[in-house]
Amino acid sequence: MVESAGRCALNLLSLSYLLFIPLVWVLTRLVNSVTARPMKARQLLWLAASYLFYATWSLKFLCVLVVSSLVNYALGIYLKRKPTAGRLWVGIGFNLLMLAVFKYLPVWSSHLGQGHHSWLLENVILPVGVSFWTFEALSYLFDIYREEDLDPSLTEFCLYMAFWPTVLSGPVCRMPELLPQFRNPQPTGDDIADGVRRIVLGLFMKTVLSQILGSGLRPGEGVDFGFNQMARGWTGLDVWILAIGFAFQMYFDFAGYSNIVIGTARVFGITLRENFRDPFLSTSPAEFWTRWHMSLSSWIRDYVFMPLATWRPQVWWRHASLVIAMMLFGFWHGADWTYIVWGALQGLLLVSHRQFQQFERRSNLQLPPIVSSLGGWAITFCAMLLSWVVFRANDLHQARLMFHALVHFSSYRHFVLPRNFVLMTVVIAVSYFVIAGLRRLAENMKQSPVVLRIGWALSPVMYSVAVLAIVIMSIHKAVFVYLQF
Amino acid sequence: MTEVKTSTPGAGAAASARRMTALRRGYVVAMSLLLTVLAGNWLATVAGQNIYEKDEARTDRQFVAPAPGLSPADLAEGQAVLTPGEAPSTRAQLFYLGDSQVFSRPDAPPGALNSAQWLQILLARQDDRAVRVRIGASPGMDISEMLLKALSAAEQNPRQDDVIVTDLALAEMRELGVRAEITSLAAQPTVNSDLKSLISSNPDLRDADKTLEALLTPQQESGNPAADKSLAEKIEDTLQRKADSWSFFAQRENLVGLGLLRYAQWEHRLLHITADKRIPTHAEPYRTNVQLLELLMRYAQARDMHLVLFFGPVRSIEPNPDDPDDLERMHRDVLRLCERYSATATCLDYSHLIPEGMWAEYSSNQRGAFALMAGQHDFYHYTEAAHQALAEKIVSDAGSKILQWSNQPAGAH
Amino acid sequence: MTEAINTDSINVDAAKNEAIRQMTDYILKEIVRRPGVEVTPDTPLVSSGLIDSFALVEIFVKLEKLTNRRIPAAKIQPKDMDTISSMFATAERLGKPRQ
Repeated sequence: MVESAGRCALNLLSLSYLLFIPLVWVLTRLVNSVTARPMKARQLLWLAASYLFYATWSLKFLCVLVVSSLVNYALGIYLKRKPTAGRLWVGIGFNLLMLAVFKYLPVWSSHLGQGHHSWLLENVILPVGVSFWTFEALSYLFDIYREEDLDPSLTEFCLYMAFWPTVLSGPVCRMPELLPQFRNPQPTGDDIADGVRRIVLGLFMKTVLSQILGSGLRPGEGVDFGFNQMARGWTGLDVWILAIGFAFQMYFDFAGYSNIVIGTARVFGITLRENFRDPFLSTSPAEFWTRWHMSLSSWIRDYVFMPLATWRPQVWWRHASLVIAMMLFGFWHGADWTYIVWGALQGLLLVSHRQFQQFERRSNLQLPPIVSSLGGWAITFCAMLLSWVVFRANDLHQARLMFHALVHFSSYRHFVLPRNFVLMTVVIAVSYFVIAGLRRLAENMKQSPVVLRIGWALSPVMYSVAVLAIVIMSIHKAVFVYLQF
Repeated sequence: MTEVKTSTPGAGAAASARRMTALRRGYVVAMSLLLTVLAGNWLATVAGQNIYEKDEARTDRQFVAPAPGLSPADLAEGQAVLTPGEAPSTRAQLFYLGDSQVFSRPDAPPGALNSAQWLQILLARQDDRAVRVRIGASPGMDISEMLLKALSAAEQNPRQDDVIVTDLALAEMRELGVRAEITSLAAQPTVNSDLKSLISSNPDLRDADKTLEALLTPQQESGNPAADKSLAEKIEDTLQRKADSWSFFAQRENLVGLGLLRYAQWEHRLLHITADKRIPTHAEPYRTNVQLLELLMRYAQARDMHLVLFFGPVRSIEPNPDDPDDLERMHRDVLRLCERYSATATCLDYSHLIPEGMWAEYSSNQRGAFALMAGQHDFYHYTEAAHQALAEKIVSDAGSKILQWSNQPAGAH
Repeated sequence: MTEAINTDSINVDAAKNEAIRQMTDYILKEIVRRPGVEVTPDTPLVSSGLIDSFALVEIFVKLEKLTNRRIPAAKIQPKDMDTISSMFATAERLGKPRQ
């Protein structure tokens, strides 16, 4: 039985969470000023706050997290004494077993017949965030193996695993980045201002933009309707609209979450890894994966792809490693064939891109920059959209039906989806690119004092509009998509 | 010895820059708060003046006005439809589903009767202990919502309904999609299990099954939502209640409705959408809705419930949003279902019942979505006299059957 | 009295410089392939976005060839491969000479 995410917990999209942040901040200032050992006291306060936050999801979840933290800390000590591959594999084995037991076996057991073992597995809970903090534990063990100079105390390690902004859905952090900050966070005025700005931006992205795309303007419209309630009958146009809608829904949902989380940490003087950087402006699949879910894609690169690809020198093995790494990336999302096929598609796209680069090299092809970047963008954007259809489809059969509609040109004469949804999707997608362009322009003009002053003067209008929109749309009880992973 | 103060020019500039930054930040925070509060209060006032018609029939704001030909007993029966909780019990229960045609009388004075109320009055005149009519209609209801409402009807009442009366309009067959308030019905334990059982026992209606599977939400652990709440939820509920003391927060729902209305106005102007613009009926949603209707019939059959389906009145002027070919197809498909389930379903055709003079026109006096089409023909709603005519026809064609069924209560579940 | 010149260390330094030069050429011609780009031994490659991280594998294989060492990839951290200097330092630190 999987706990339904977000139903009974301290949700990032709640008034409770917005009060939780200043409460912990004030307590932090208090312990910093009154205690004899402020660093220790602050770390214990943050750990207690993190455990309290996580406990509101489930005490059972918290037990699993605590056990994982203690075991991984012990494994770190064991590995540090003698950093051998064998000892590293013990640590990898334990964490993969955790994931298998809590995440994958219950799903697979539902395909087994009725029986004592399957009943047992079906009643295993899925602790929210287990995929994320288990990967953080693995990266810690890898860093110990690589003889990084790391010496976290037990409190610091538990805090690293349970740090409340990141415990639910990342970003997947690394100990070398967080440990110095846990020891000496120094939040400045800039940090607090930027943190608040990002929280507001994240809430707007999630409660307004992602919500409109996911559930539609009117109830029963939106991406969820298009994938879940239509059994068949999509036209080619419908599939493209759903692909665009879902891509942007995921982006605003997860980038919105990331902004809230990164902003929260920033208020406390902690700088987390970025997770997104204008991914829809990518001009190649390789570039896309340096801009989308960056914390996890870099994790896969550093801990899976690099060791795997360099195991054998042959070129074909490098390509195979790319596909395997991306399939594991897909598998990380869940034990469904749609995720695995999506991962394989991503791997094949990356291999195709590399092959094209080889072709350019051999033939000395020099495309004009505008053709190269526009063409690259168009192909990348379309390829990513189509792969998201597989990711989102409820099963491969549905994905097949939707792709069937795409290739039949007669199905482009009309669309079946609600007009509002089609309009909203197009407006939001176009606005994204317009705003990205304006941001680039603003970056170039930032040096002008006049522009800076205008920016400052008008920013309260932006904040006010954002807050009002967030409050209005909060009537819909939204849940983050990535919590299910 | 005189102290000589030394100061670094750079330190002075840095302090000045810090002061400036602090001032700017203070300005941004203060102005943002001020603008948010002022704009929020203004929006709350606007929302209060333009209350968006909620998805459910707002029976709580309606009353029955005395009118010639209506006795005190009639008025009481009409009122009982609006406040079913206070109504005396009867032998049978009738659940009146459908879209806004059931209850909307755009140009009628307050207190005017709708077809459900007229049905109650006319049946009670024959036997006032026979049937209690409840309205389950919602604006724009489609078949999947109808099915969910029918399944949940037993949850709302001490016993299941004996008769379901519903109109069938082409608009109900065009779309798939269930609004959140009706989706939440699926979380109730018996509705959830009824849904699962319907899906598993009707594998031949695959498209309908797929649509219903998407509605299966996590069940509430007990039938009492309040008991399921965690401490975190209770704290959040308390905070939300406190936030409601700010009028802008309390008016969120109305603001969403108002926003949708303004969006629709803009969309209509931009795309030249008029009330008589032809609306296509796409094959796939239509086919799924036919399957969902068949599921409803099978459900009623299994529960010994009776269905009275009537093709809703159609305004017969051109141009018309409904395509005659689509209407004919719907009639053909539904009649075929009624033949197959004739023991359960009675089909009536009231397509041409309402003459042109009894149809409503949109006016700018109306609230909500109706005001969008001011000055245009209303193809979906009719006058109070038409509501009476409709109810009289139902009683004439099926009244004796309904009264007969009231003596044979539906099987217990 | 003149100091004896350590010809061995001069040879080693020359070989290393040659290897660095070859690596720089390889990165410019085979990986970056953009005119006007300058790469020095201390230019950040991955963190600056000059090369994508997947090209690191090709650079890694080239590094093993140029240094004639087997380098355990699992021991490498991202920052070890960010500049040409750090790559060669990593190869010396972690790599084992090939048989």
